Amino acid sequence: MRRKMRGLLSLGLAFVMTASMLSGCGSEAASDSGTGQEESTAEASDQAAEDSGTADGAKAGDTAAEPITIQFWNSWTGADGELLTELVDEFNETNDSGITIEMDIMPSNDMSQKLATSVGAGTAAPLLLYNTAIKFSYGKEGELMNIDGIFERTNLKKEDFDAEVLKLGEFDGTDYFIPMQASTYYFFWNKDLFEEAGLDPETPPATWDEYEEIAVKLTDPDRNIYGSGTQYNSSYIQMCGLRNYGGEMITSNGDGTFTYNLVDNEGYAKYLGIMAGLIGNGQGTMEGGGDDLFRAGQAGMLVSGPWLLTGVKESGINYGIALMPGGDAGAYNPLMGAGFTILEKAGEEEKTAACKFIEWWFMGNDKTEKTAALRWSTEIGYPAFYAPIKEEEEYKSNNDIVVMSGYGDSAVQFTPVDYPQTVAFGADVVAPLMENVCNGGDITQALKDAQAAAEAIPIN
Amino acid sequence: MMDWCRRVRSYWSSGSRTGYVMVAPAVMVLLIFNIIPLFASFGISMLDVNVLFNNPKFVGFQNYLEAFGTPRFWNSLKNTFVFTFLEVPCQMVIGLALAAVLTRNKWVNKLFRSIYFLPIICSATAVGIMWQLILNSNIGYVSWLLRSIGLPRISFLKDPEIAMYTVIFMSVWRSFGISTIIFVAGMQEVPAELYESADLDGAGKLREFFSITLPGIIPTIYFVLITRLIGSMQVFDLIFVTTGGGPNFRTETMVNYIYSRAFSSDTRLGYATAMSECLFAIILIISIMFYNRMLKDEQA
Repeated sequence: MRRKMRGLLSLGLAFVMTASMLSGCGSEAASDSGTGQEESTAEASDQAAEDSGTADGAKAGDTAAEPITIQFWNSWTGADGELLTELVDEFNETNDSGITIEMDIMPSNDMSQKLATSVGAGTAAPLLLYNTAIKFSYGKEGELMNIDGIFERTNLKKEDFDAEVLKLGEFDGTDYFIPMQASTYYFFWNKDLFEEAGLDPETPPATWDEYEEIAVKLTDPDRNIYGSGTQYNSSYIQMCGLRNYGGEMITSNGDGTFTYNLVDNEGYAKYLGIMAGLIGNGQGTMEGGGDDLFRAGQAGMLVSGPWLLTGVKESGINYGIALMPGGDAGAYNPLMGAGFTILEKAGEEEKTAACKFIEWWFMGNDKTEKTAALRWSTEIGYPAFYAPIKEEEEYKSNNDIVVMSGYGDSAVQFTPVDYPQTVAFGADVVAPLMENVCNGGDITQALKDAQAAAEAIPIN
Repeated sequence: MMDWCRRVRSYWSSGSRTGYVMVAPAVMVLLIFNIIPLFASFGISMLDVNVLFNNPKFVGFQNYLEAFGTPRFWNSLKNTFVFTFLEVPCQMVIGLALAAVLTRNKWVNKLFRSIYFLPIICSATAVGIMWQLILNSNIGYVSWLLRSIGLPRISFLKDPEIAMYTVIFMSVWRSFGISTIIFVAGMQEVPAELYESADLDGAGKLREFFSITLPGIIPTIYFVLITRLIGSMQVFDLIFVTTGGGPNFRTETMVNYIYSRAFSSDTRLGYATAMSECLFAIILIISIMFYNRMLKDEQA
């Protein structure tokens, strides 16, 4: 009897262990997968609603008959993520199409990794909000939908979007992104600290040379105040500064090859000397968190993105905002953008639902008091690039936004439009270059090392 | 049918066969999630392919040759060795010393063993963020202490000369608890009669430790050494969260570099897998060396 019990017990245990192992294996969990939704027939596709100019004026052939839930991935983990969550909830509550957006916000690195594995496996969310740089990888591989499909399914018009901003999402003649936000970096300064240092609080520095001089006057070690809070190893900010002194870092040869202009570049050497001096002399901080220092009144000025605006207003800092300082080679303002994109492999109903959300973002519906795009501009601080938003009184009367929209013809892209390795260039060339010189490295040698690192980047 | 069930039951109920049944699920897991992917990854390392697995191209050992010709690969290997061969001895020595003090099962010893074990169960991300804040030269507690005694600010994680040692410190802080617990278990198995005889012969505590305790826990020491070596050579999360491999790649280990090639600034899965295979080979060789040494010592 005991042997029988022992045998039964061991078999049962083995069965339980095997079952638990198999239950841990991935199954096509519909709740996790955006692309695993069962396609339903569009029963109401022949109902053409009256075109009222809002999102409820549905185009023929795209109304989902059944309620549908789609996944939406992005990496808006900061304070702006709260507004994004609020807006998505508003869409879920007010749309009449039975669409529910399930948003998953994750850190940027996690999203990068998750996207890489899930797109290949076909389990990625159909709707993404991401940096337009992924057009070079996912767009090139045909994983992203051409945004002409969005204009076909909605009442949005391509000509209402700024052409320069739309170009951010273009690769090889195809547009893959509807821009959600686009801006450059801006110069923020603490007017009270300027005044205390005997500086004119209404006059920001025009060049990085002036920036350096002002930083010296603002720095007060006894009060733990840095003159400069600009992050020395932020590759995108530093690419702006380097370009304004030494010109283009990368030149396209037009045949898929590129020339790097780092070595023996006197303009770059001058700018690097400025940044190294700021750090070495204690006017700038080695640590990150420049935004937090500025909000805490511990940094006199810095270059950062529009995301800083909300926090600065909440902190009560008497701030000024202007375009970035320029340099000997000019005053360029590289645009960075993020946008909505839809996976090509998503089902038809999912694509329609995603398009409906994007349409609502810009046009609202009959329950919308203020469109999401307008709120994003006025509450977070990103300049608008959608014509109807720019005409809104609330937008036109916001002084900060007017300043931030002032880049005009000085707007450029960080790297040549056909350069596919902007992210790698920033991470593998610019950030190490800045770390090298700001830790006391020889500038000439550092530029040589950066040139070698740049030339080692594979161009796919 | 009943007959068949009886025969099956009686067949699998015999001593050794029951053992096979018990380990079968674990073996299946090992096979599906370790052995098969290991061989599959060797195949992937011979391809020029991105993470989307689009248009794979067979390139033979080209990825390996490219890795061997890349200075950053050798830098990451050097950093991995520096990290491992400083971190592992540190945590083992600390673990041994503490284990010697906490061997007896008094309540206060059990309490301290639990306290020392706590960092192990915390996520590396949380540990990394915590130490980033503590060591921050602007707002960190350590920085405040230094300044209050008149010393200058130190950027523990941004200074290329000390960043690696800071990371090693954080890792030792997090991991010494597990070494301590394992050593305690080993020390408790040393026969008490040996200590009694040593006491009768007039040996002091220190002499007992070096002459009785240490030789008595040699297998435990080898076990901890091999497992900690394997773990340390694969360090990733703590460095990813704190320094990101910087400043200027001074703390970038093999796994951090592999991650950057596969998922971050590049998406070359084949190339990254080739470097993973190199790391696997290195860890395998080192583990076999120490394992053989352990067997020789046991036989001796």
